[in-house]
Amino acid sequence: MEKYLEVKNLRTYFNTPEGVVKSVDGVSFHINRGETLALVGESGCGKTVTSLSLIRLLADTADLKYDYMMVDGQEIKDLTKEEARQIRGKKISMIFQEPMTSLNPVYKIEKQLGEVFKLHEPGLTKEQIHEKSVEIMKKVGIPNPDERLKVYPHQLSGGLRQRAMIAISLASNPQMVIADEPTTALDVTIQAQIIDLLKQLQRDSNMSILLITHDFGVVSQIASRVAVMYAGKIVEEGMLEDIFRDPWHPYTKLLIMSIPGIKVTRGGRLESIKGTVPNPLNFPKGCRFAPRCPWALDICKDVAPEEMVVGNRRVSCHLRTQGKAVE
Amino acid sequence: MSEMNNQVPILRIEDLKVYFPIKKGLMRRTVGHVKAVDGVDLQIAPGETLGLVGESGCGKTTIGRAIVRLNEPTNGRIIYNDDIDLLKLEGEDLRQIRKKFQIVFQDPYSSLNPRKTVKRLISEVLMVQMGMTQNQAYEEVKRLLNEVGLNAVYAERYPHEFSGGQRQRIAIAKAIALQPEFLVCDEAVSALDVSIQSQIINLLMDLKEQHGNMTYLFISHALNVVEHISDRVAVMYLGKIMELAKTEELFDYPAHPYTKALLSAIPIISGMKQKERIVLQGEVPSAANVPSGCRFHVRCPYATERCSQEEPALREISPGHFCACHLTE
Ligand SMILES: Nc1ncnc2c1ncn2[C@@H]1O[C@H](COP(=O)(O)OP(=O)(O)OP(=O)(O)O)[C@@H](O)[C@H]1O
Ligand SMILES: Nc1ncnc2c1ncn2[C@@H]1O[C@H](COP(=O)(O)OP(=O)(O)OP(=O)(O)O)[C@@H](O)[C@H]1O
Ligand SMILES: [Mg+2]
Ligand SMILES: [Mg+2]
Repeated sequence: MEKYLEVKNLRTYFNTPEGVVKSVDGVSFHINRGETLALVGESGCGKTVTSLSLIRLLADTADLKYDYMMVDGQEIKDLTKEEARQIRGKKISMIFQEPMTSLNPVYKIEKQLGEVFKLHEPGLTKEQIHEKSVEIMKKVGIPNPDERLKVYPHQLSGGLRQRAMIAISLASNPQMVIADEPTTALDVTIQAQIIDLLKQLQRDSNMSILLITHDFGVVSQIASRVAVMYAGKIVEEGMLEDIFRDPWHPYTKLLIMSIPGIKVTRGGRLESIKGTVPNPLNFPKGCRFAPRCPWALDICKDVAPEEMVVGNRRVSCHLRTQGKAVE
Repeated sequence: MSEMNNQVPILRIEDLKVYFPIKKGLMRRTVGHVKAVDGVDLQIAPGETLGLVGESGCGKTTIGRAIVRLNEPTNGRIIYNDDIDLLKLEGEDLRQIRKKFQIVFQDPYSSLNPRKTVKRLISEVLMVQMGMTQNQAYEEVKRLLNEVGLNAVYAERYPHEFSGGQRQRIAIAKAIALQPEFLVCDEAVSALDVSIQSQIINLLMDLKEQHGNMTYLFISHALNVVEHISDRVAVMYLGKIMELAKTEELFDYPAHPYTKALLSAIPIISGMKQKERIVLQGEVPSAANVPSGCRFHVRCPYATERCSQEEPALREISPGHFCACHLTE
């Protein structure tokens, strides 16, 4: 299998008045051609910033560094704005977590979609563009696409807006798509339709997918590998089945235990992982999960664990390195 | 309604219609209407959590926005405490009522002012609306951030400097800051992972106990969350309420064919019996071109001749259980 994208030791820090926020703090991973890697983890752990770093859509206050980056067989030395522009769209396209970050409020959907077709398939006639627009709107499950093309983003419901944005992201027929929470505002039926569409594109054009989601149902339907992120670092990575069957990192374990989702007890209290995510201005010096880890050893509070690689799995946890199981 | 123990409802929505004009051509002529909400009657009891569910685009957000007066309904009344028609309020009266009615928007990105830090965003309303001093307001902002699981150091940041889920929680903190009587939660927890989702749901339930009579309209496509948090649930289809019942009743004994189809799509966790999945045929009709008779008949597996001609009323089929279907008569 050939790698489509690889990044080593990615660090994205934000300079804020309160100090340096280490949102992404030494992240490495790769994605093969035609493969789906899922990136999961708690709210605020750095998933979106990781993906925005790859296509360099970061605020000016961001400081981006890495040891190595490769996209589509080409090493990217310093990812200038111009290089980044060439990567975005045709190579890597992004489905944003919040539709209005990428939709332009003053243009109708038809115009925004048309721009993408014009840019990526020059020579198409007006009629062909319209036809293609209707077709892709149908594919993302938008009923009455003809009507929906003629409106502004604010005239669409939340779920329709999300799908319009997905249509625009996929219209460039990208080699890789970063799908950041692509199905949050959608009901299960439409969610299934979007996942099927991504899978179909993957089959047809060998597209790679970086899928970011908090929904393990979605992960299990499409991903082959899973990377688990906690407080700016990837703490565990492996094949989907291995991670689900036998999580090595305590955080992964707790995450997987929460998969059934909200257990309906009609009015009762709900369980959550105890404690809160550490303050990214001031991470604990040992393992970042130690303050919340029910299995933490003394060493965990003082020494950051090194990454241990076993075959196609990796984990950063003292318990595992010492051969202790997480029960 | 019997299940409301003859209490005066905090809100009585009567024949609410919200139509958006469709304009065409250079003259911007109105050529039709998107009937986003098309004749909704609903009563909400004080202290109740009413879940509102239904397919994307069926009009849930539009109802929520009408209640907090963010759109101009075409028709109908929204009566507060059996007395005040919210839709008729203006000026100072409207301002006074507004602070009792808050909404957590489906899209926090476009609802939070990008030019104000979180501290300013929330403390300003606390000072203006609750008469707090600046110091009191700042303390309260810290407390609120902690309540939604965010570190108080975040107060100095601007909305765009947060993650999606953090931003959603800031919108929640802002909405609960004024201790509203009525809160519309529009997909308020959908961007959050299960652990933080649970924490926020617990918080919403605690607030209810702390402030006595907080009332929620809880809009969500996550049916398990709706089932957990709601006292009653209303099911909407293409601008109308199709079924309304106590939560247990609705989930255990759905009566409307649309509700049955909607509930059958819930993924079942292993070990439980899988209900037969009902897949609806055809696509959702356009709200600009609502089918005759029962608006669901074109997709209903049980539709009869009558369904295509006569629109069924929302009738009480057993105490507290309302359904708009000819077949349940
Ligand atoms: N412009 C910025 N300035 C300062 N901090 C930032 C900025 N953007 C993001 N952050 C911080 O970086 C961390 C990671 O954010 P990111 O958006 O990657 O989280 P996430 O994993 O996508 O979370 P979610 O699931 O809530 O979307 C968060 O703590 C966030 O507050
Ligand atoms: N300002 C507007 N102008 C024109 N049409 C609108 C406007 N706002 C909403 N609509 C349309 O009204 C219908 C109902 O929209 P609404 O946002 O209430 O749906 P919803 O049930 O909240 O859906 P979702 O689950 O996708 O958020 C949709 O067809 C939508 O496109
Ligand atoms: Mg994110
Ligand atoms: Mg909505």
